[in-house]
Amino acid sequence: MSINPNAKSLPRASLDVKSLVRGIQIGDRSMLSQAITLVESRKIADRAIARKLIESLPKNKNTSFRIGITGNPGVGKSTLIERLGNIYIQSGHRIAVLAFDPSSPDSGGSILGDKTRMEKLSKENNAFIRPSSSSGQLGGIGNSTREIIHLCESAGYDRIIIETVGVGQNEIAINNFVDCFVLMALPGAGDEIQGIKRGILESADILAVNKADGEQINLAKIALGFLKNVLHLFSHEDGWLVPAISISARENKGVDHLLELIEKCCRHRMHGGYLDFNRKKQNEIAFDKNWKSHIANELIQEKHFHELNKSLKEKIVKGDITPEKALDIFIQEFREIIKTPR
Amino acid sequence: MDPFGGSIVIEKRTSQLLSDAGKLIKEIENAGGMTKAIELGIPKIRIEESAAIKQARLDSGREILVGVNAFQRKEAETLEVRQVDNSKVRKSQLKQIILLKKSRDNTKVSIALEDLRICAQSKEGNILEKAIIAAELRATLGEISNTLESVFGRYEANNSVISGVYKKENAEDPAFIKAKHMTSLFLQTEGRAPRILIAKMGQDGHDRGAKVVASSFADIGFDVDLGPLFQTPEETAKQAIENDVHWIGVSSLAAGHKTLVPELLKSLKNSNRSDIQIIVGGVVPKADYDFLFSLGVVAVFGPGSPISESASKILDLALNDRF
Repeated sequence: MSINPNAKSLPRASLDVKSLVRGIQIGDRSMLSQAITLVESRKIADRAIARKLIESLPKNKNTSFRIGITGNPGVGKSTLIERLGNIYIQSGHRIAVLAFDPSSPDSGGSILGDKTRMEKLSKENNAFIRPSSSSGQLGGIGNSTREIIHLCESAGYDRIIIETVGVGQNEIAINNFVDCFVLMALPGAGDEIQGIKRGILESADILAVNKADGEQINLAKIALGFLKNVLHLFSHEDGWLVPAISISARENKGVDHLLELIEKCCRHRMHGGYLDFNRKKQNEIAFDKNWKSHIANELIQEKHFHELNKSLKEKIVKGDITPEKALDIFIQEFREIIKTPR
Repeated sequence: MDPFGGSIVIEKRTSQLLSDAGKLIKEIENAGGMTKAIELGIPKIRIEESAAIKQARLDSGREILVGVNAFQRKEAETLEVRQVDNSKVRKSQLKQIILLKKSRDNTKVSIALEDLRICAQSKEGNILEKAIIAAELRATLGEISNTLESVFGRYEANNSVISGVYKKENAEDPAFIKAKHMTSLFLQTEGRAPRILIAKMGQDGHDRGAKVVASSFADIGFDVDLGPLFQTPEETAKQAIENDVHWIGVSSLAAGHKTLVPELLKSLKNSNRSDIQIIVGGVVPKADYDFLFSLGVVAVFGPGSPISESASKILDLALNDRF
């Protein structure tokens, strides 16, 4: 281990809103990426700058499509995005891929390895791939996702692909960010398909059974049959009939068909005015969801509550008080604060 | 004669070895044989897992390896290393290929390659035989493999990374606890977790070490981006910039550092991101350290560098003036 004797500490971020806005609008990759860092930052001081940045950007004109891709680990999401992205780029689109990896709740760190699986796409000039750790947030998808989408759209990316790992309830949250939600499944009957929770099936716009290749072709057919059986029970309120198809991302089979379906779904919604309506509805949900986590974040960064939280936790671990009692104390303290006249 | 015959210790070890090996063989058989297992990435992940465990044990001193974590050399080793100018070699190789393509019978080469393609596609005939015919006509290895790729596609390695191994092995190690504390400190001051891209650039396929480091850094609390194999410096820079990392950890085991690191720095500079710091790990001759430092490389971690300590060191350096 040898350290450079002349090494300097990391410079502090020193970008002003004006140059960020200009950089994003001329499509400067490095500016976009630093703007994303800013809106993702958990520092309260950064929040204000981030908000100013977002407000300084022109309003989105709904000319982009936002596509969500979800499925269990190992279902082949990244391989599919690699293929989809390359087709999009060939037809002249600019792609932003936002990949959300689960972070380990204990260490807070995570491996963000998506580019190892999107090798070709990651080299493309018209592709911007940004994996983020979801930093332990419920929903498997960051609070700042909406703002990041906005930044990417402002930088001229017109197809935004959002990849999330489907674990437990998280898949549904993606529905709050995208125009079209593709749920991926693996070949197989019964258990594996039924392992996908009903609520998720209901909110999907397209179902894709991946890995329909080699020895698995017959299993894929079974899965497809099963999904089609379940699907006729669902219909979306905008009249979109949910299709189920089988694909092989690895062998690049059926991917162009899937892409057509995605485009068809988005266009169907755009023409019916539903795309715009849906995005506004999503904004409402975003506010409702975000104020809770933001208030909690704000509170815990305040010295008094930070210490109270810490001492309560210590007492719980020692066995001095029950978690319920600790919660009572914490809430009581909070009530005192909000009752104080300003 | 078997002097250890009947020894309880040896008998126990051999029977342990037998049953552990049996487990691995069973895992492979359950996957449907070795070919399937390789496709699923099973052997690779097992190797990486055991490498991470070994690393963790060496770092915490629970396992002793003389020369690595005990009785290290006091005086710096000064090995004379032959210096190869990679870019010069590359240029002369390219020149040779051009010369070769000029001197051979290109019509015959195209016919031979087309024969090879048809053979691969129809699955009739012997691919190796056709490849040898093409090679004898001076078709390049690249041309031959590209022809086969056009039919079969390219093998894409299943690139999963283990997690939690380093943490599990090292949970009680003071150096690990300190490094973890530093990452949370970093998160508090900077508003996000420390983020590092572990990159493999150039013709260097040795990624086991890179993966052990990636996995361990994630356990310590870093957000770790892992680049694909064989990246060009420009591609590494693009990835680092898009992900807005604090550091790029360049893993170099094939002596490419003297060309690849300067190119990487240039690419970063072209995008105004010279603030992204570079760390080099792997096999780098001591004599090259000063050269790398003069370019602005922050640290060089050679073989035997304990991971937790290395992480603490760069975090410490990064936050130097923050407290």
